[in-house]
Amino acid sequence: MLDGLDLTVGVGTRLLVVSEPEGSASLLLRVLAGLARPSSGTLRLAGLARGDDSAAGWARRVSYAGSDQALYPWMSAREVLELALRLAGHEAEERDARMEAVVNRFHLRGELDQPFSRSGPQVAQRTLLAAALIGEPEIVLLDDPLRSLEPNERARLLHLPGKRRTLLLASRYPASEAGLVTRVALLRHGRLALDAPIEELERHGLPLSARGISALADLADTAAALAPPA
Amino acid sequence: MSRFWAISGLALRELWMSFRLLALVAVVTAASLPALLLPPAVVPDLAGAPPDRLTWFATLLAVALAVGGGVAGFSVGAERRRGSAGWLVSRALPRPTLLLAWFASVALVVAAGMVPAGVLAWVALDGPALVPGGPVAFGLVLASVFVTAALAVALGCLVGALLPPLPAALVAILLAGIPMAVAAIQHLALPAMPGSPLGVLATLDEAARPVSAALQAGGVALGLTAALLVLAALAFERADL
Repeated sequence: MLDGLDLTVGVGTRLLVVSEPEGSASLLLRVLAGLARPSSGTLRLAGLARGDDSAAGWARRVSYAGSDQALYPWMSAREVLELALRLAGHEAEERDARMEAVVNRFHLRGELDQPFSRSGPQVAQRTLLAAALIGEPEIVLLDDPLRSLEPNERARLLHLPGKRRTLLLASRYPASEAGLVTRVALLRHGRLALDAPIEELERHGLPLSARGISALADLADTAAALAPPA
Repeated sequence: MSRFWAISGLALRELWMSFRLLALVAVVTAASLPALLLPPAVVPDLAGAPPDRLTWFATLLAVALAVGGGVAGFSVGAERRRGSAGWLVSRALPRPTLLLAWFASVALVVAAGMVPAGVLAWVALDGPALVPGGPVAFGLVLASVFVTAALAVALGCLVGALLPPLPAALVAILLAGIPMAVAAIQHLALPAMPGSPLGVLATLDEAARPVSAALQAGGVALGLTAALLVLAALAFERADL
């Protein structure tokens, strides 16, 4: 599903990744998160190799949030967040402060001790994102996050502060990511077909949608084909 | 190390909440039922006579321990499929730590079932008259059987790293159960055979030096368990989570 992909993402970039067929974008994020192994090639995120499992290394700098199905339904938001902090190697005092901050930001206080089987998928999704951001990571990999939330609430929670924070967001509904991303990439049959600033869509009068991004990739292809040889 | 304990606790709780813990303890404990319910054989050595109570105990224990391997295979496969393993690994948990935590948790549950099974069998089979070395010898033989159980669980972890949950459970039960049940039924106590501690258990009333045979067989099973765990860790390291 990924083939010969060569993608460089600058520090602070907010990149929306869309794919044809669907699934390649998720796979790219899973490869970057170390959950799927490429058969060949190399990847480095912020100068780190995936093997750096130290508390000061990968865990604090790179974070991934995928499906909320990954969370045990008997767990509560508090248990998930405490586990995430513990696995990242934070000290007890720091854990309390960070927990307090994300609980407030993600409005989890009311459901903090309820199991997800009772509090529902919205709380599970908010918790998953909170756990991904609890360590203030430099790089955030989000695979179609917060789908069951109301659009405004979703946009508010996904508006991640920090100029140097890099975001890679895989989405099946690009229109709902407006305002959250600065660049857009299209993977077509596993290869990079487009990597452009989001303004390019507007410049060509194309919407932020799968069709619009695909049309921009076609335009870029045509332009490259018509350009005189260097 | 604290990560290992945290994930072991998580695995035990998942086993508890999904009723796998209770079911496995019940299955392993139930292996002692024939010893409790069947009458002693009148002429146990007669050709064609039904298996004696000790053979029944060892055989059913073999099946129950294979189920332990199946639970391990199902659990590791389910963790991969559901994405829980992926979520934990994305929180910088080393994959071998996750696998080892599941191995230890399932093995602990099997041990929790073997204790009541052993006590019930000891009482029902009139242990002091049956085993020359007394409860210590019986306990040592059971300890070597537990190492065989750990071997089955390690096998489950390996197939769980490669296959989806249900096929992993079935393959683990078959691969672990057949040699162990054969050893118990056929009274095979060859040290090189993975299930031979169960053969020693089945012949506990006849063997000249059962503890020595059990420890030898247990040592081999321990080595095989370590080798399987290394293989399982390698497979899990390459698995998509």
